[in-house]
Amino acid sequence: MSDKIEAEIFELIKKSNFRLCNERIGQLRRQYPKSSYFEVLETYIKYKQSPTKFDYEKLLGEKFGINGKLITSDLKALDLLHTFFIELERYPESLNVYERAIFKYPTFELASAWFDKSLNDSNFMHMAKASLQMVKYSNENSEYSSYLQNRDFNFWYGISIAALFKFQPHRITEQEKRILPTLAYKTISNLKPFNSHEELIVFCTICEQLFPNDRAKASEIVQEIFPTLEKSVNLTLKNFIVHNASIIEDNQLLFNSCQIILKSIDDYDVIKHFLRSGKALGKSKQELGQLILSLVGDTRNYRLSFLEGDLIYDSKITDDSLKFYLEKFHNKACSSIDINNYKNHLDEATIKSTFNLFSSEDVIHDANTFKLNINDSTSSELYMKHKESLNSKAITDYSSNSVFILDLVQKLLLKEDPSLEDILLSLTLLENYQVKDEHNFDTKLWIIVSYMHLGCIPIAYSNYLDLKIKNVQNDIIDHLIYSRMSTLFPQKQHDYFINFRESIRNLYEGSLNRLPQFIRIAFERKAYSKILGMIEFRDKLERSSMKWLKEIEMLQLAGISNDKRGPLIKKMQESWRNIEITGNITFSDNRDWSSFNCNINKKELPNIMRSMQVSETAIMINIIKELMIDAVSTNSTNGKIDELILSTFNNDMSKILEMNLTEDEIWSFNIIFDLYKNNGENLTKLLSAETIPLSNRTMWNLSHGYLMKVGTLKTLDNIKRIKDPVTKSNIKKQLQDLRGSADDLYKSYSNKIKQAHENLASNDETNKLLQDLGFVPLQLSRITETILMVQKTVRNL
Amino acid sequence: MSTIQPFEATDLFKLDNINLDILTENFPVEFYMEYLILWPDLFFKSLETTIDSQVNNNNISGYMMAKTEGKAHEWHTHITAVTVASEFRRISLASRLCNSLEAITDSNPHNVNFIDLFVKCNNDLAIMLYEKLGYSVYRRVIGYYNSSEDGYPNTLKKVNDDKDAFDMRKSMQRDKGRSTIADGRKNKCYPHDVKF
Repeated sequence: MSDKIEAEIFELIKKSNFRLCNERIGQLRRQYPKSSYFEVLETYIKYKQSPTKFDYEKLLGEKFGINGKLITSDLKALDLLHTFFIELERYPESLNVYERAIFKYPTFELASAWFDKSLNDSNFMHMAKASLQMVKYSNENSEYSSYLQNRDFNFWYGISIAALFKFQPHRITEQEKRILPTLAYKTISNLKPFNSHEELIVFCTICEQLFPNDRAKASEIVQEIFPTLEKSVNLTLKNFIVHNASIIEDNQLLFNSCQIILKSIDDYDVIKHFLRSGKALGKSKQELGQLILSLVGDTRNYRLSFLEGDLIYDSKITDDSLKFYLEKFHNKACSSIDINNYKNHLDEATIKSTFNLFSSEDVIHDANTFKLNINDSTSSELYMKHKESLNSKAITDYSSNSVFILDLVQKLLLKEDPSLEDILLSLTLLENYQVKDEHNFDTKLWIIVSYMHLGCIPIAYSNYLDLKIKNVQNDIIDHLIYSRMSTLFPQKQHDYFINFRESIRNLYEGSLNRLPQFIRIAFERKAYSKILGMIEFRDKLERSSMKWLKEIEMLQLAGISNDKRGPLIKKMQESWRNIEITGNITFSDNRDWSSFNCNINKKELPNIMRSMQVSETAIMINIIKELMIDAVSTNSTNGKIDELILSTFNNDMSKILEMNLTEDEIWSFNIIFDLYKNNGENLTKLLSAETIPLSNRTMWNLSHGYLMKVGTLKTLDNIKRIKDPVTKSNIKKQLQDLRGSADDLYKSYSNKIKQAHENLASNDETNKLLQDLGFVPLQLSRITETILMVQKTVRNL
Repeated sequence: MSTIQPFEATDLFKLDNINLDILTENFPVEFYMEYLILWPDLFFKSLETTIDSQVNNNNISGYMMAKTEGKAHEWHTHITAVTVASEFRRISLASRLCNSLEAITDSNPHNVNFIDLFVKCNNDLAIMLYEKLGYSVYRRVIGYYNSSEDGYPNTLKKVNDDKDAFDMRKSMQRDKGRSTIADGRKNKCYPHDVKF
């Protein structure tokens, strides 16, 4: 019965029906006067009812705070207190309630609940403390007793300490830095002999991580692992023994270990150590070469070991070694990457002459020499030489002909300011090529980038769909199409937006929220070697730039579409607490740029990718902007905003804005900032501030400028604080004028595209190139129809 | 130059080079986590030491996901996924990954009887690769790759190279050839027959 009322109470809180709420809790308090849970719930309701008037010290701090008078062992009460303190942003208190509880009412269940909450909050200090309590109080009646013993929780402690030192050194005092490693080492050491590889890995992790370069510990690691080498093969232990045998400089042991490992695993790192230790033992290069051959066979690693051996023994690579490698690999795509690694030890002439010893009939051979800049032919000549191979390859195979096409394309697109003609020509080359090499994603990515730059989002998106991006990929590659989404194509009925929304739901609201559970299972299943990686993965996803970028875009879209901001702001604040609680308030930029294979500097993207340039500072600035809008709209104060402004701008706002935002974003930010800080004193002046006129714009910048203006003006139009009738009328007029100009703006852009297309068609050089390559001109209608689609979306907002 | 390394959860951020290939499956996060937790030894990658990971994220050239299952004489390793980036194909990297898996599971603590995998009947390239590594076709699984529209197969008489799978196996020494046959292409079974 009380469960039902309790559930009802939380629903009433959501609906802000506090009259009924207070009635229900009153009923429960009378029925269960000694229940600490209902006592806490009653206090929680008081807070939710009037957060600004809530007397923290009197109502909560004095009772359950750090030095509070009350301690409860009721798990439900502790759970609610944890939630309560987090909402109040009193993070130390949220776990402290558990710590205090366990010392007064020690039970395994309490320790386990504490461990779970600490894991959820990514607080590894508390995880470590909780796990020690689990060691102390585990018994045969606990829920884990069928598969976990007291001993196992020591390893939980060990991993928690390793996580603490690796990820949260800021939580450790100087004294703890001295004591904790020794305590962890002794705790784990006392459990020898180890029952499994995973236990041994915990031991090695503690020794290596907490006592870096300590010879005694390194020696212990080696002694523990070496006896296992003949009986089993474990990749983590392989790394530990090779690394630590090097530290103690025991060349014989290193050599023997490498020899055993190479019998089972063809590993280049191990081969390098084998060569170095072999040399130190006085073995000849030739002898080692023979040994490697007998251990791994005639593999790529074996052939490359000759180059490495040359460097180790003679500090220079011989022509014979290079020839030996290229004999087998000159026409394999890996060779340009491998040779590039050694280019500081090889001269270009030698590489060229050695490659020339082998047939260049294979497209991969020529692609390799082209990438190494030792091919005298141009990319179009090479494409023409090898284009027939596209007809005979398997459909699912990629062709190295893409290397030549991409060279042509990148010369056009990576200019300082690529023209419409450059982009249309690039698309002509790419689209023609893609028909022949359907699955090649290298060229597909550039097609997407080109259409995005033109502002043709729907076509870019349909190409993006071909890549079947999903799950974690949404975090690392969605920036290609979803950066600045709300000011490029805010069409909520289109699959582009639906997919955007789905990706947030699946990855950040779904999978990310389930990760703590998986980490807990990893502890229970004793997959200790994977826990640190899982913790880091969760952290990177929680702080992901892409995740935050998408949250901002949702808020901006709400402004453009006149949707409710409130729930989105609340969600953003919850997300913020999730990172604030870890003590690390930075973003994790997981976006991948290396798939473009042209050394892109992500801090300064080329112009063709300018729409995707969203720095971490830009994300923070936009967070501040959205919080300011919320504060101004709801007439509330938020101390955090001023803190963030100070830490982000450091008293140099104009410079930071210029370095990180587009002109239109700066215009919008300045307006909102003026409203927030100065009550809109300078609004009239800021509203008429100059940016590049929309009529002079093309490509993505047209939609971006237009929609940034529309979004800002609509936001202002809805803000009740703006009371001056002249200003209000000015805002409405600007909106009206903007909407009135939409059709002409896009028509003008469309005409410019048509003109550029005609210019290309009448260009002899272009025509000759297309003819030589066997390509046909691009169909313009698809582009102009897409621009019309974007125009209609934009005009209706 | 490849080094064989354990797969970490954070590697999921670095797989574009491999997983942008549309024929390579992109599993949900939970699926990868399950493999990391339950079979930590059997989820590993090949890493290219010639690529500086500070400059270029794409230094993972391939990975292997496998699991152990079955009981008694059916205790074996199953290859769930093995995949290689396009720039590192045709250099026996997939073979290296399979050989590494064999070395790991043919010893303590796994000591499996055999390794198996499923491959589409029309994937001649893959079938040849595995036969070269010592695998042989054990049986044909009718409708293994059926979509929901295709439905569950109701007869073993109808074959379709694009929808059926070959269950290929390689015996380990302790198995003494018990779990494999020279050519099982004509042995047919339903998908439910391959559950352990």
